Amino acid sequence: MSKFEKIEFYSKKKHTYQLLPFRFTDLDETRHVLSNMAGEFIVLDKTEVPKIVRHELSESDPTYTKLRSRHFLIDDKTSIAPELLGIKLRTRLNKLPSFTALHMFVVTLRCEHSCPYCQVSRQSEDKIAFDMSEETARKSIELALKSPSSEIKIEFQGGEPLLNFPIIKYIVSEAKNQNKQNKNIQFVIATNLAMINDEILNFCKEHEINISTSLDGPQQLHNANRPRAGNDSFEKTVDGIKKVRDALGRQQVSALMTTTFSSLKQVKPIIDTYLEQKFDGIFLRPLSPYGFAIKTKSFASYGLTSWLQFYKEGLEYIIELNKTGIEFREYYACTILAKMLTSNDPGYVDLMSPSGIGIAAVVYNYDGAIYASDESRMLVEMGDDHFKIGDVNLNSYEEVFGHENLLNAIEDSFAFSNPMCNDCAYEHFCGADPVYHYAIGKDYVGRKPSSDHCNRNMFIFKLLISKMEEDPFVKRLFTNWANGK
Amino acid sequence: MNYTIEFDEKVVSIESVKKAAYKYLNKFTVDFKLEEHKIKVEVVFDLKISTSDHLAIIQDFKKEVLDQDLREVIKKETEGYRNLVLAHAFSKTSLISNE
Amino acid sequence: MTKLDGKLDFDGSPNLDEVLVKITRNKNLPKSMRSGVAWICQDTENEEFQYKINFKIKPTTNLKTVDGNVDVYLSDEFDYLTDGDIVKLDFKNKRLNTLFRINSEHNTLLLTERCNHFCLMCSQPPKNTDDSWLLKDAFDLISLIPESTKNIGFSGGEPTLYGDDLIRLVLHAKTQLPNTSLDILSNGRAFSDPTYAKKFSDVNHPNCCIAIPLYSDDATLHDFIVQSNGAFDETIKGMSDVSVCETNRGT
Repeated sequence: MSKFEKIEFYSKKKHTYQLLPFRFTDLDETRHVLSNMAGEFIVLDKTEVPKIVRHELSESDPTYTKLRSRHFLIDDKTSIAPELLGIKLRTRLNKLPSFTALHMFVVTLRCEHSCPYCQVSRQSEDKIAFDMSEETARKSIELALKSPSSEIKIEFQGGEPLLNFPIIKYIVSEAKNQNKQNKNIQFVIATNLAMINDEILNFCKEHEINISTSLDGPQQLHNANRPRAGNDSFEKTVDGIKKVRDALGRQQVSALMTTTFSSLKQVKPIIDTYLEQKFDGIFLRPLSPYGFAIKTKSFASYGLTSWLQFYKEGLEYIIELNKTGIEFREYYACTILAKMLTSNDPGYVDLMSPSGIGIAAVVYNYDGAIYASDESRMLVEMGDDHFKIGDVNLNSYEEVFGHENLLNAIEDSFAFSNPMCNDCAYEHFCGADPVYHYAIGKDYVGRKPSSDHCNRNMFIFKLLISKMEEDPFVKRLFTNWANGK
Repeated sequence: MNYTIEFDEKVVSIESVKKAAYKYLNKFTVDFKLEEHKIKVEVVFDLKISTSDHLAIIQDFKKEVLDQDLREVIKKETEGYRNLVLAHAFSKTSLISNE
Repeated sequence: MTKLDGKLDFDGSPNLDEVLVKITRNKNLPKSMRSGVAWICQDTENEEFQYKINFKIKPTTNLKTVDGNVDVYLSDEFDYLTDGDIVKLDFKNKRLNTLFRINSEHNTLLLTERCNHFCLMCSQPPKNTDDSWLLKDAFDLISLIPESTKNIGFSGGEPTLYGDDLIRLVLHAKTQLPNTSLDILSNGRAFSDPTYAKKFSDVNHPNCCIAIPLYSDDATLHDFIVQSNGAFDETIKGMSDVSVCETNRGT
């Protein structure tokens, strides 16, 4: 055998690498966000992407190692990337088989508030017309317990659910009776707290029921948003929060705000109210288009620009608070950051792909109708029952969860396969919203450039990433938020 | 005001141009024409977009076409790996190299 | 720092090269329980133990030995030895090794000094000699360790270099100490062989944790630190192969 090496041995071989699948989208004027198949991302100057794609990057380039370790390229030094990506992808999707965690029971439509943004409640004493019956409750529970998930949450909604407290008691005991598979069942009551009393509190304590209430902001804003006889909604709420904490514990009550046009200039006072009421964080919710659309019969872009300003200001204020040592979170950011920085999907209905309708949540209405999500219920109030997927009195579990409209909506809106979404580096952090897009244009997919859902979420993704890039404190803070700390 | 932009089909694909145009749905509408190997794109801006912004948006659109072209290159080159990753993600067997 | 290894001196002719014994300070331990137990005392006293360990500041020479009894002398560095500790008396090399301390929350058994890595920061540079006697000691030791022990660990070098013998040892730990959690420090590369991963998983130890260090997300840097080409890939593969076995078994 010849001892001489072939000439190739002596030619200077250029270091080669191969690309792994990735997407890139604008972060701002000068930077791109690149994300890999498992949703891990990196921020690079816009001049870098063409270099990477044309194989002009050298191993000594500082970006090279980062790109290799985050599975954007692969070379002869390591070949484990495809398997790791497979594992990460599998982890992100592994909650799918145990679907429908959240079951909302609308136990009554009656309510003593008359909030203008509410589409559903009825000012009425007629219990027969607007209360859930035991029969309906029992059948709804049967369906709920057929869910493959070993952990389910039953949330009581309305109207004002406490106006039908007897059925709540019935559902809690009946659910426990029927629970032959020993699922872990959590109960929550979404209430305005005006009706709370000792009997109810004792019951909640006995059955470990949590409370979720509405707190729109400081007294004036809250009472203007949420009128009731006596104009004392805020006082009742604050009083109720204290009562619940005393009786059940500090973590047993949470609050949600509804954002109206009047809220938009008051983000700091709203956050301050939540701090005063000793909450650990706030969910800065988008303006809901449904109520407005009821009035105008139109789904035109609903105050998006003002809301984005509201959100940005709120988030920046919260970051400042954290810098002074106050631990306070913005919960929508927490949800997104979990998707950005971990492989865990938080299971938030409106930000899931495949869409969370039916899969993450379902609604059992007082009259036995079953809706694919809370939004679906609001759509019905506007005269379109497209997302009514059954009736507890008429349909089996298979018929409900196999309903054509549900399955088509989930399939068609699957972001991985939608125009613009399938190229988008932020797709892993985002979700499909077929109900909203259907409401606008009778189409599950919608046109993303003009979609408030798309524009809102893109703005927030870019905002969160930019802030992490420019401030190490924020990076640490957001990493904690992503991990539920 | 209307604008006509030309792309050479030998340089960028029609797919890239179409995908780029899609992103600007809320700003302008387009008409496409293919003449020999020239892709002619006629752009009609929505009335709500002010004239002073037109040129900047057109420039953005051209950059987006180039980005879409890059995406096509990436997609072609990484097809094999994409299938491999998905196979791993959805396989029921252990992740062994003798598969 | 607690001295776990030291010189011993002895009088008499032990009929073994080495032996593992449990320590007691209880002079009045019932005779029926004295087999395999060594009594530590400060002064010389005549009792019928198999081995007697005398505590002396300086070794003395005029002690009688009775048939089968050996007087062993240790310096006061071993003052800490207490009831329930287990030591190895090595008469051939005149060494005492403390192998198990009852008051320690984490007893780690050194299984080998051989290793297939050469980590830059290793506090125990590998030796390429046959030290399988350490494995044998581990078998014997596990039979002596009390069942109430909360945790033991296996370390090295690289324990998986023993291949199937390591698996036998884990099975032995499962049988003898079913309530004791087991930590194994390993680079995990052996588990990238799916057959080995499965064999390991099939032991079904109720509370075993394999601790595998990963020094970087960048393969080249990790390989450099452990001084072995291809280490990163094999380690990750090893980790995932074991996980898959565990998942398939439903744990």
